[in-house]
Amino acid sequence: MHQLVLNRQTKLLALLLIATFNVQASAESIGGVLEQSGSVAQIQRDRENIPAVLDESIASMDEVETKNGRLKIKFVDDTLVSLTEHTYMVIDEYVYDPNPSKSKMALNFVSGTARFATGGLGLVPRENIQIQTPTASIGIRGTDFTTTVDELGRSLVILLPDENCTDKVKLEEGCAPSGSITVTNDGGTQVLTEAYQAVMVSTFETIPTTPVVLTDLNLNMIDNMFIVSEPAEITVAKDEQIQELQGDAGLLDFNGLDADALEIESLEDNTADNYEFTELDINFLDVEFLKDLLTILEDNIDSLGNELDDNGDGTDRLIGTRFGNDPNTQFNSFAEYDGKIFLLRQISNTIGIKLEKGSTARVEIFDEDNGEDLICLNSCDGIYISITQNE
Amino acid sequence: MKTKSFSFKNTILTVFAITGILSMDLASADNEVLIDQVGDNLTLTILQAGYGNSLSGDTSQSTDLTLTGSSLIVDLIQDGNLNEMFGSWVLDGSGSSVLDFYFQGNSNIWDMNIGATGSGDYTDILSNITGDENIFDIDIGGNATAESSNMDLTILGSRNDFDTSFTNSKVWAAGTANNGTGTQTMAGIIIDSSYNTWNFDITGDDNSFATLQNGNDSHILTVELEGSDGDFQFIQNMTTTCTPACNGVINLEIDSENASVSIKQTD
Repeated sequence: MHQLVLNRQTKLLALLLIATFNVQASAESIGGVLEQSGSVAQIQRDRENIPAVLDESIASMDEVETKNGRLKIKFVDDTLVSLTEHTYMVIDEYVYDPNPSKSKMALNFVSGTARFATGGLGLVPRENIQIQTPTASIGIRGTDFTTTVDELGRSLVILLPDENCTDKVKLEEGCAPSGSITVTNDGGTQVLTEAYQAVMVSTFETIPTTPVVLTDLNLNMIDNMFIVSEPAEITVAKDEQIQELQGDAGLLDFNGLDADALEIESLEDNTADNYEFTELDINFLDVEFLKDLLTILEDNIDSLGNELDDNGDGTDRLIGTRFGNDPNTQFNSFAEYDGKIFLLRQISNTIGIKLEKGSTARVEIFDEDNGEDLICLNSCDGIYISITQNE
Repeated sequence: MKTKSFSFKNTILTVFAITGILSMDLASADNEVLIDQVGDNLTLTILQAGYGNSLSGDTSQSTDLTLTGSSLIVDLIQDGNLNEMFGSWVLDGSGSSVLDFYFQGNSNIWDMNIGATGSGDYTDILSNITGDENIFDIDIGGNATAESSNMDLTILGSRNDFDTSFTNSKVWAAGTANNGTGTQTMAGIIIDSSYNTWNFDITGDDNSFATLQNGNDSHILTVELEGSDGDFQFIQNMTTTCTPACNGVINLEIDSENASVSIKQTD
């Protein structure tokens, strides 16, 4: 009996020693906080909350939650992971060895938006890197990409271009991808090989969508990506409600002044408190962004097999915008209007441009409120149109 | 050179000036019509056939012809080349006038100023131009009100130049971003009035065309362009005193391989 107790104490001591060793090992720094903005993020390590201030070290098994701030983590191999607001990431494993075949990384993106840029891990065998979301596993090699995970676990994965790509280059010459990505779950695997190519994964059992290239996306938008999503049922209900209020609005009934009316109402009770709340807490860009992004993805999926034929009759293609309503450029584009392509920008002032089908045009927009945009019909040459709108 | 000078009030005037077109020597013997007219309800029809004809205010061609009055009906037909209207056409009055212009020929010059010192409200201008290398300078409401002008302009020809100068604080060189600073003289039609509704139909290559709609209310510009190498600039400035807002509308229909179009709307 006494021997048994000693044996138990010995085993307990041994377990404690092992546990202590593991804790010490896991607390070894594998990187640090390179940039931090907004509210200070939290690092949960060994059940302790550590403020993720600048230069704070990062360790394996850390759980990082950004809350209302942003964070950029640099690992010892120079891999960068940028986390936007309300992102939750777990570092399951990180091993760096000068011999790439011995290095490992396992990250779990639970929610939010993260941008991943490989450093020394670019040479690490694909099987040694495990990037996990609730609905998919991402295999990478020498790749920059983003993941966006909403509250339902749906994952949007976008392959980013190489570092030489700018928005202008993207439109006019195209961009080389930064590498390739495989997105895998129980439903199957999809491979991303083009810049701005993306897939969405709804559940772990459903195969990722066919990859599509997001033409209306740029790096700046990705940097400002913010996860605000809602259940599809809510979205449907909202859409139905809007349609009821507007009637069966056709394209001709589109009224760009509606947005202004909403803004006026929001300022109607213009007490000092309300002004403070509005200015500090409402960020329309953030709220709209993911919705736009998902819409873009779904629209691109709908036009699969038609990527060079956006209007559906094999003739015309818009670059930098799309047929239909584009909230980014604020253009409404019609593939068929009196036998022509019709571009309509209706804010307080209105510009309508009819172009011959099959023609080429470059339209540059300089908007004091919304910045610059470039859209093209078929290619970015031919007719040159410059639009400046100041209000 | 034959010279005719007219001063009528409340009358109907018809002028026919015909110049031979077979001899180049006749270029020095142009017909010149001088007009100094004050009064309402004028109906004026001028037909100049030939070439080298002119309309102005005096024989030295340095004074504007003057038409002052309301409810004017003016028909001007110039059929031939090298016809000119010298100086500005000062068309003042209380408005409600109808101007109908028909030009057929090349290298004509048309310089007109409506509402230079008095009201030019409710003026309807109907213009039909066929020819190449014509130069047009049209000012409406530069110094007085010229609200609710309605202008229909149809041009069939190439290398026509709508030539009015004004100073703009932005650089609008074609093919470059127009968000720079500096001063540049622009060619075109300058209008300072409200509720303008213009409909332009321009067919031809290498036309240069610029318009400015200034004023205290809404403007509508509808332009159909067909041809290559054109350079077009359209500006709408709606002032901020409108309630609730001044709105501009520009509708373009373009059939071209390489036209250059600059559009600016401010309010």
